[in-house]
Amino acid sequence: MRESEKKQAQRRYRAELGGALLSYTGAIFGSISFLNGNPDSEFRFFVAVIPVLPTLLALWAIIRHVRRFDELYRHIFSEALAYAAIVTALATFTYGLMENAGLPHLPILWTLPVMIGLWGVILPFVRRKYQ
Amino acid sequence: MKNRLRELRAGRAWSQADLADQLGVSRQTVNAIETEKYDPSLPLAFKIGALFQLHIEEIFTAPGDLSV
Repeated sequence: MRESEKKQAQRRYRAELGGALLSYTGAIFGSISFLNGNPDSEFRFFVAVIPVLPTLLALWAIIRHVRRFDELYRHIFSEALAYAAIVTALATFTYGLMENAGLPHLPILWTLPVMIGLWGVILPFVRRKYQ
Repeated sequence: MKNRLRELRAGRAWSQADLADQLGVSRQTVNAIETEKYDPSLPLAFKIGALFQLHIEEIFTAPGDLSV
C-alpha cells in the first residue's frame, strides 16, 4: 500500500470508527436513560442491548480497516488480536478467582473494551517484531 | 524460510519500494521477507516467482531437510 493510499485508508477508518463511536455514545445514554425511567418496561431487555448495534459497526470498521492492508499487516493484526484475547482471558479468569478471595465484583461489560484496548497496546510490539 | 529476494532485487537495481509496488504490497512486507522475519503466502510467493521468472524453490529454500 502506497503512502497516499495508507493516509486515505486511515482517514476512512477514522471516519467510520468515529461515526460508530458517536452512535454508541448516543445509544448508551439513550438506553440507560430509558431503563432508568422505565425499569419495568417489557422492552427493557431489547433497549438494554441496543448499544450492541453501534459496537458491531465499530468492529466492522476495524475489520474493514484491517482488510485494506496487505498480508503482512493482516498477519500482524491477527497475531496482536490473538495475544490480546489470551491476555484478556487470563486476566479476567484470574480476577474472577480473586473475587472469591474478596476483591470487588467487576461487571463482565468491561471484557470487550479491555480486549480491544489491549489489542491497540500490543499491536506496536508485534509490528516491531517484523521490522 | 531462507530466500534470495534481496540478491534478486539487487540484480535488477530495484529499491524495496520498487519491488513492493510491483507486487502490490508494502515496503515493510518486502523488508520482512528479505530479512526472513516473515514467510509470504503461497499466492505472493508465486507472484514473486513470476516477476523474476523463476520457480518458487529457486527463490525460497526450507531451513532444514523437509524431504518426505
